[in-house]
Amino acid sequence: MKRLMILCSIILLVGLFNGCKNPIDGRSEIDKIMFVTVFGIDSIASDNDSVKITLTSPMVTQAQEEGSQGNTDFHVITSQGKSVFEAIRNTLFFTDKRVFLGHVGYIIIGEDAAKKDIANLLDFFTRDHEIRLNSEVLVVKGQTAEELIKSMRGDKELLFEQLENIQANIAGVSKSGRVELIELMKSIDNVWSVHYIPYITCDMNTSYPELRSEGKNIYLEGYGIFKDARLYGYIMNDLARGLNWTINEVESGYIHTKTEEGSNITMEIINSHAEILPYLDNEDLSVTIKVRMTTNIVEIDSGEDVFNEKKLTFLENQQSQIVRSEINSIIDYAQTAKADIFDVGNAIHHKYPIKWKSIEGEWEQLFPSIPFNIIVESSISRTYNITKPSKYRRR
Amino acid sequence: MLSDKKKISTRQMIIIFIVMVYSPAIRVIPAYTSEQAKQAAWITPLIAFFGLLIIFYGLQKTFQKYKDASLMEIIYDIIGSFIGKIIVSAYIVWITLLAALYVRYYSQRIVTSIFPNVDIRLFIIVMLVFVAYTSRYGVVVLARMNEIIFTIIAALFGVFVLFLSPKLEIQNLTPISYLDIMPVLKGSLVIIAVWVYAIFLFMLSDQINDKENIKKFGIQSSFFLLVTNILIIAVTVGTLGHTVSARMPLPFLSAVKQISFLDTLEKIESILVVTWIASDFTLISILLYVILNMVKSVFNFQDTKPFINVLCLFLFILSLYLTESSFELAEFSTKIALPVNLILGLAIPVLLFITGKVRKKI
Repeated sequence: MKRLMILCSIILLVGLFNGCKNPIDGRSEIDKIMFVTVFGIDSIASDNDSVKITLTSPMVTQAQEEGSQGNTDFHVITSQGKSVFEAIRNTLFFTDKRVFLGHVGYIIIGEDAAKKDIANLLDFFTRDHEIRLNSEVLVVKGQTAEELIKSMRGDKELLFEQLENIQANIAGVSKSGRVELIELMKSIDNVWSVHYIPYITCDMNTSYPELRSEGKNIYLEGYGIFKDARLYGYIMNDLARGLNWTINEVESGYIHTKTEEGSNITMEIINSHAEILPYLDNEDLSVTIKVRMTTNIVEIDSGEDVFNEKKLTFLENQQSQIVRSEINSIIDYAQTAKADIFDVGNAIHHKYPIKWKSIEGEWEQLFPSIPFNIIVESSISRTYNITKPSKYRRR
Repeated sequence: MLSDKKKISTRQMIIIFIVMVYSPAIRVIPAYTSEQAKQAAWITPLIAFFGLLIIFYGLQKTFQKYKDASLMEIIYDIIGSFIGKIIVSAYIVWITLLAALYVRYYSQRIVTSIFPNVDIRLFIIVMLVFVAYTSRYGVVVLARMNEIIFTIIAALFGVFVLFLSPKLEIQNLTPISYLDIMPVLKGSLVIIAVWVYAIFLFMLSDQINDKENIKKFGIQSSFFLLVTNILIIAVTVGTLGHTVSARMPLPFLSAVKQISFLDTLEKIESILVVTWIASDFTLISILLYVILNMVKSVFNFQDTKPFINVLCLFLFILSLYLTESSFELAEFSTKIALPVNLILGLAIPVLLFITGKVRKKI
């Protein structure tokens, strides 16, 4: 009897809770939720205290629901408020769906907003319980996040998927990269550290107008450099790869050089490993950047046979020189900007924690005068289907 | 005296201890230790480990002499019934506060992490109704149930650590130098403050069999806790960095939120919340038994079952009015709960042990 009473009570409670006016506030039916995948933030020129947000979520068409390929358009909503949270809540004035941020994969910051303090802008994202700290952060060069997001509507791919794909593919050139929110949070916590965030552009603003596919393109070109959490400048091409060599983010890519006889030759980077090694000699601090890399020969545009020890050694020296110059260029950039982009301070902290304690406070002043020594150990390990090029017999 | 069938084994009690400290271990330890010891936070359990060994050594020595007595009876015997009852009353007050605090922590954690807009009372009621219902069946049932809970928690914890290990960056856990000695000692205090619950548990010693095995199981559990706590701190600080961990109310949860295995296995933090709730259930239930057993001892009651509902109701009210916000809760936790735990869980038991030795009672 007692158990029956308990059972009845439970059933009654469950029934009553169902009848209550939303006993678990925040619960929503799935069709009433907007699953945001890309979150854009912009500042408003006329109002310094407000932010504008642009949210996108996939648009599921009837055709897709029935299993066939439908269009890949996405919902875009914009809103604004004194804070990111207020802007999100303001969407409730005009949308029939509750914004859910648990699926945000990309946080895109417009250029104007990036020139303000991104630490303040990102506070909501680091604090909110729905957002994952492994969301990626990107900066838009030359326009607002809203403009970029809206310009991508009606394309062959969802914006989220495009971003995912170009970020996955960028390892093939290693001239940009990816930065997760958690990495940025850690970086902002380091008072001496400078942050880098990959930047994107669209067809209108790209530095590579000659490179395009059909439809609308997003270009992941390099990094935005942030000092004191404000956008300081952009780096691309050799500078960006110079940074990637130093921070150990070069996965693949190409190195183009000339053979001893002046023919063009292209090598594919197969692997690389970099170390930042600080040295303290008496009170003199110096830093060695040591890179080990391997390449394969992928293209020779002459009949020259380079597959002998002398010529391969020459090519190895050539490619080492190229890598050295790329690293040198980013060191020059960083020292001129007084910006420890590659976190040398952290390397010193790890190797000389006691010394670091005494120089930590004046690191920004010390950094530009630190002598850097670059060691590149490179090797060419193989080529692919053929060895000597096709024209070698005509020579 | 209880028959052996109505008692639990020392092994079961130790398992209860391991499960009950799991919840505070993942809630407060990574945040507090990384705030104090920074990148060296993962070393702090090593210091606490020796503290726990000393606690188990003291318990073993004490129960060699008093085989079937409860810890309360031992206190009365060492310092006299009157002062002993005053001290036990202080323990009753504190452990009741602690139980209410854990009821609040449990509900606070759910509203912080998953259901931000839900009335906190809903979760408190659900937990306390469940605790009140199961408590009627005695500590033996809880101990058996806890063995299953332990297996599940241990397996899931292993999965979390395994999936988090690729995210772990060794440089977040280094450098270690002599500069870290004091911060590590400071950081270890919070772990000791949690592990002293072993003393509170042995207030139920009259319901435990084979206490001659305290040393054996104590050493085993100390090693287990040492390894698990190092792992908890290492994967949390190694993934998030000490500066971020120290600022988070639930850093281990935030770390688990980052798990992504082959881009397919993601968003598994709800499983962590389930293990938390299971640990909280064991913790609150066992503290309830401890309180009732002490009340029984101080007031010479024959049976305390009728008090279960009253105590649960009291815990409900106390948990709501103990603090107004999570900020007060955090302040209460570090500024009051931590030192009082150390006093009642370590300082007073050590003093009593020394007194017992001097009086040749132990």
